[in-house]
Amino acid sequence: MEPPQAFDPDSDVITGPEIPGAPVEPVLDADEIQGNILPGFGSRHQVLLGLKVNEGQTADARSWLARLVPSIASLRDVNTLRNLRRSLLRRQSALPAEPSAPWINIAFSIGGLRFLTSDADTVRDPSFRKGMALLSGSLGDPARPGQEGHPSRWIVGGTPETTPDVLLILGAADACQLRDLAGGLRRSLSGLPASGLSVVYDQEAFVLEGEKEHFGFRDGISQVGPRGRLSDLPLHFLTRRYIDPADPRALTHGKPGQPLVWPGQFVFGYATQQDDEGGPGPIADGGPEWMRNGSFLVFRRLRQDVAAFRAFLREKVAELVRNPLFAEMTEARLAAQLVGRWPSGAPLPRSPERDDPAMVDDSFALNHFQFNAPADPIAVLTEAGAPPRIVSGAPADVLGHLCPRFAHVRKVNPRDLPTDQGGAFHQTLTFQVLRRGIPWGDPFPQEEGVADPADGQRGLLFLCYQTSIRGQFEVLNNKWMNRQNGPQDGGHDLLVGQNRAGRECLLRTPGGEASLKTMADWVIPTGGGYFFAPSISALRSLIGR
Amino acid sequence: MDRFHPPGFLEDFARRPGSAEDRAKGWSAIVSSWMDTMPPRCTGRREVPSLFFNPLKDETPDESASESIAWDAFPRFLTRWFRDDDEPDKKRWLAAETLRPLRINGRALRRVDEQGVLREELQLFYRQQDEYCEWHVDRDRRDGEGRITRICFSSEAPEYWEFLAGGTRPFFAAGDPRRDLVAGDLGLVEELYREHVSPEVSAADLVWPFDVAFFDDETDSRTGEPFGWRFYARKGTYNPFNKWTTTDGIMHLTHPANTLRGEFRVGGGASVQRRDGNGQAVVDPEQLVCCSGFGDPNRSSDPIIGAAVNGFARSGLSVSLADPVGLYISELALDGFSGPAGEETAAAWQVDRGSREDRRILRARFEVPEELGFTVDQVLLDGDGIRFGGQIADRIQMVLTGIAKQLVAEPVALRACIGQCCPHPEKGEIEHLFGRAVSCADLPPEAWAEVAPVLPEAPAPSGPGELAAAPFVAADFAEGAAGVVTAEPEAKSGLGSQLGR
Repeated sequence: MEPPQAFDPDSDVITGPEIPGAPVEPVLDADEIQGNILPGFGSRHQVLLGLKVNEGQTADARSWLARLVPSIASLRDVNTLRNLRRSLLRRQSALPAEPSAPWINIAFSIGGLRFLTSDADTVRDPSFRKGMALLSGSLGDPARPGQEGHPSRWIVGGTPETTPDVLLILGAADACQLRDLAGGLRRSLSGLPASGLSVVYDQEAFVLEGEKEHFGFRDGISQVGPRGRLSDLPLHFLTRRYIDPADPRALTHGKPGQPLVWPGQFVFGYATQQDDEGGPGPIADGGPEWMRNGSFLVFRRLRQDVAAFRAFLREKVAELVRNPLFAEMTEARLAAQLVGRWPSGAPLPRSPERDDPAMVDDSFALNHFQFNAPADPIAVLTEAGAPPRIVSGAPADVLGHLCPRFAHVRKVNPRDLPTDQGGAFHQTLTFQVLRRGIPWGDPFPQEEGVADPADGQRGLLFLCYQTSIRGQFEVLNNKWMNRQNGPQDGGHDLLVGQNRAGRECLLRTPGGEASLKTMADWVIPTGGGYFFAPSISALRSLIGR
Repeated sequence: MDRFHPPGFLEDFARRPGSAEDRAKGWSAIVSSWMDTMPPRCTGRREVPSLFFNPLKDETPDESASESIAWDAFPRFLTRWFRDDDEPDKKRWLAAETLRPLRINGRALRRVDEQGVLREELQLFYRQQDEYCEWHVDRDRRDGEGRITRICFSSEAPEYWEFLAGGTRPFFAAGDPRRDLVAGDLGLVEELYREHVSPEVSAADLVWPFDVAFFDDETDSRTGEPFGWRFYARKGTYNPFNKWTTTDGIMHLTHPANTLRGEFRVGGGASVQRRDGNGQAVVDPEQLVCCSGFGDPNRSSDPIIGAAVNGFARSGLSVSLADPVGLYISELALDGFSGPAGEETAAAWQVDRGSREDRRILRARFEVPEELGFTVDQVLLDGDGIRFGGQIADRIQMVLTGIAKQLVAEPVALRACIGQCCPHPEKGEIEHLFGRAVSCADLPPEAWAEVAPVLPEAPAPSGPGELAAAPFVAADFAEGAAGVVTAEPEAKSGLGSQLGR
């Protein structure tokens, strides 16, 4: 009998160790699945283009879209570049230039699908069929027309006229390459032969320094790891596995803090995640056959009012320091409580007292913690032939003394905690989404007293993929972020939640508690929509009908 | 704390000032007695320190930590059952509003005549809503449409109403002095029913007009046979399945699992730490329910409450329920509701009993005030008209407040599982609790017969994506519709006039 295959971090086709008893993972159709779904562009520069089919010009629009199809980036395309970049980084610790390729992905709203096919309304997801504007109230958005945040004020997706039929996501590591790509498309849309499409939304976006979002916090640290292989080779996993096979967590995690999730949660046609044992569940079926290898895309254009957020911190700290329990409170500390991590990304359970910027270099430690039980030290493999490295453990935090219960990262990812939805770790994984968001707008001035050149116009293009809008994004948004008692008692998500009746949360320490309340929201929706990103051959066949 | 208060600090007792103090003491004695019997102890074993404590008897100085435990009001079981249906939402909403014939141990209750002879089966019903929140929909049928005029929600425990009607007597065994703490007041019950349900309620409607028997299928260890037919209730005592709280309205909960007593059982059972076959602590909420043999794994409430209690206990804390003991409607999220022309609808949510601010609502109505100029069925929720109470229940969150305190110094030992769950042969998500000795693979189909939800006899109107008014009515069942699936709510009655799990 052959010895188990050795860990080889330099291989692209053996991306994890052999583990006895590991389930067999499905082979993903890498040429069919669009590449922003899996593995995700990750591009530093992106452009979103929202297009509407002109009245009576459906045939022209089909032709234009048909010409675009060959440029749609697949999983294989994006993964190849990702592997290249990774192997370059393993040889040199810094890259003189980012390997870059211009990526395009495409998605359709229900309105867009109706242009292409007569069975659009057999898509089962009721939220997708209704569209985001109709569900805006339930998402917690302001209810009065004319109020910022209400769909009537959205710059995209709030009214039939501004709701795109088609959403293009363009990405490139190199800004000039992206500019050429986007420019070319814009010219082609307004040129001859007539494209049949009008641009109703055109947005540039770029990653901020340090991978931070506009409130100053490192973003995107924690993502689930989709299961699945890229070929018949038994260890050719999409999501690399680093955990020492001797540890039982190697069966459920790719890296510490990165649980493995069956791909049907994100792509139709593959096994979903069972919610009580974590095994593969039924195949994700969206309705019509052309949904296979596709995914729902939720897009929310969020404006972040950094000035209001900072003012809230200033005001609350001034209040809190008068209470002897919180005499040591600072704005930085309070902000970290709202997020659950320090600005560098160091999580509160691992570093409750102060930020630890050095931790950012250790992606394993950065995410190794949980709440209901302690996170035991875990052995990870990083080099072929070398002994495993031990990542130190982290204490449990049931009552929220280290990482408050209302902290954003805890609200949307309660990890091993039991939740108000009836389950715990395994069920929580069934609500998770693949986040592909990117900030937009220039950073808020760091210096005090300097006028804001962008006049508040900055924020996050929140993008995520899943196979159930109602069962995934809307659970995280409606039942957890915007509710005081979800997933557990402790307060609203004060960072990004919304609630028309105001939001509040409870700061708990072993010695006592203090309540924080606010009527203001500093994350304001200014656009969005629910879209479907088809597979590449479904795209071809829908356009060709 | 010197006594347990009535649920939600209700002030019903004050309507009879002469007996109000006795009544308050009586209720407190009842709740205290429930606290004292948790968890059930095996006879003949060494006293294990119980991790469930009675705050009334706790004299340690520190404050307890408190924790609000929340869950969704719409029955999760129905959502799971219909998940793969062609019309999952419509079916689950329809099932939620369909009354289910009452069966105890698989059989209907029967009348017992003056000579003590068993007579006909009784047509009694309860609601298939088992998350401690039940609702009754009032429809206007005059033009044949069945448009909703109001929806009443209640989280009131039947035991409270049995207490109002019967005093402390039904709750204590013969010879127990607490039995005579206070007498019942049926007139008070009638008054409250008239106020909230209908002016036509009369006291006679609220009591059993004759003696009633149930079938006790537990084995009598002396004879080796089931105990058989026993008295369930006596003539003249309170009938918690009376028509004004089942077919024709709602005053309190009717599902046999929706009792305060049942809640104590969940809390007590969950305070015991369990280990699985590998010696690991069981922490997953549903696995805990199955392993500990308490509650129903398909509900939201039991696994969530169990997991929260278990979490405290695992930290070595003793747990209990906060005063006033009860399970409450915490809030209705009004996001997404609007009138037909975009009007605000917040005024339609009216709290009749309990407190909105304190998130301890016992009774509330969704009924649009006349001055707003539109009716419930015209209210839009995510663009859909309101056709079922379940659409509103989807947005309701329930809450229970637990308390925890360090009282016991010994480390907690893990005990073996005493139950297991078997998955439904066709609907794998649905599970049912069985004893450890059962082999899931060998279960006969009859074991699952009582699990399926009941839908109305008439086929529901269909239309893709469009919700039409439901044609059925609870009254259709009152005539004893034939062919309905028998329900087995696992209810066993201890003292003859109580229901519980």
